[in-house]
Amino acid sequence: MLTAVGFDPRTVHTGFANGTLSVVGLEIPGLRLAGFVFATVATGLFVGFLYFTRTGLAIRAVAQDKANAGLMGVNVKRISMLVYSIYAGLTGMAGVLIGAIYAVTAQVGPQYALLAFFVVVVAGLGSVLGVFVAGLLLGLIQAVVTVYIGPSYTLGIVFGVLFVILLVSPRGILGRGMAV
Amino acid sequence: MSRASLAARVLVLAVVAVLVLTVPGWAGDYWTRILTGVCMWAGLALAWNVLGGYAGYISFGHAVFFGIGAYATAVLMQPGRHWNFFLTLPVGVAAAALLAAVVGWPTLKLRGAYFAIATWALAEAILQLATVVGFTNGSSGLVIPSFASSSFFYYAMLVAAVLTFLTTYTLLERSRWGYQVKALRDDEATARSVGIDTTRVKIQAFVLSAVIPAVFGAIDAYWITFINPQSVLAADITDQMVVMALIGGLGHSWGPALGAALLFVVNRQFVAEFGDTTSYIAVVGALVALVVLFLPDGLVSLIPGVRRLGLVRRLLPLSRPEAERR
Repeated sequence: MLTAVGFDPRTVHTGFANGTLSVVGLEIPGLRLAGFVFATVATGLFVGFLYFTRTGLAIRAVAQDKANAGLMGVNVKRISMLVYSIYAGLTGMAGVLIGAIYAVTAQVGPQYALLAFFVVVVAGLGSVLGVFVAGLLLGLIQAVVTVYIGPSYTLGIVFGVLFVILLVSPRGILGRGMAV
Repeated sequence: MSRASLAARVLVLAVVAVLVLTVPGWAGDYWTRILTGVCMWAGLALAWNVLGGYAGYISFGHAVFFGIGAYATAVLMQPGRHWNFFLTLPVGVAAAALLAAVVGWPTLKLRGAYFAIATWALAEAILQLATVVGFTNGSSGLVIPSFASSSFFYYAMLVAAVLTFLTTYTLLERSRWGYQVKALRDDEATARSVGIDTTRVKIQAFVLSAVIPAVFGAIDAYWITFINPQSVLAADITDQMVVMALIGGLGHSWGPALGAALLFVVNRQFVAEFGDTTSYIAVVGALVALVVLFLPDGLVSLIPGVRRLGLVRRLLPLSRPEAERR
């Protein structure tokens, strides 16, 4: 990746970039609003797919028990491949949005991977409601720490919180995730 | 073993020993430096292997212990304090052991991917902490009074690596404790049922695998004479240990050292040829994929007679078979 695209940070320029929307006295940057709407719609569609289609049911069955899902006639290999491609596709979409909001280099991956781990672990593996709560929590921690303590403490505190939550409640803050 | 082949072995060993011991004399500065690095990474990979290969806990936070050793030495050798280098070693080792014990006790209750994520989060948190607390001088780092003797550092790293190998080999392959660790890896419930205090054994393995990187971190800081959080605490140090152990042979007594030697030399050659290590990372990525798919017991399994443990399939967090979940 690095060899192919180089080290220079790049940004994605979009039509929304400079527009803002005023909603009841709040100034909302258009780009971030678009990101929010896009993320909500994508998540909604994904949850619908996961809970209201046969394929979604098969995915959840595979997550619970590969062997049993296979016995029930689910093509485990195909489902795993499908999940991996959905995952890569969703991550790619998120990447486009992040590229539009922040500058990106080929090295941003690991940091976002850790933040994604934060959300998933805090949510509890396999819990979709938890993902919203955890995502909100992550955003709040980042914003509050940055404003009231200092930006250089943000990541340290985020990872400290992740560590503590893993120890205290490994099934996620709502206690709905899969067992360790 | 017949008398002749025994004699041949002793002869080969003696020649290798003499060659290894006289490296600064014949290898020149460049290769002495590379071989110093080989010793360091061999020791680090062996240390990681104690927890990853023998106890079955994949840690992505081992750079922390390396960094603690480096910082203990760097802070204590600052001009105001200027301790002797050898006196700073026990301090770093004690700090690493303490952290490993305190953190290990709750963390080792987690398994698989959760343990990996927890150690990773811990390492990142400590990396960030090191950039904000006062005594580390933040991201500008610390400069250590230099001691320019490449042969001293070669021998220091060599002795540390050899001691690491002897310690881990004796403890894990030639002692009751080694059997306890392996039993815990293979089946924790059964290990417990035959009377092994698995919590204690896990923490002991974690501490052992943490103090060794602290020693190497200390020597490395003294060798490089400049450290900052990114150079001694960053995740790529851990990644190197993991990849070296994986490619050499997870859970093998000296496989990780082989992986370390190979990868480090390749890494340096990439730097010498292309001036950076980014293309090296691509090569390593491909190598890891190939090893996991086709040679899951690492390079040592190419040697006839080496027992295959098949650990990669069992331990890697994201490829765990369903049999583990009971």
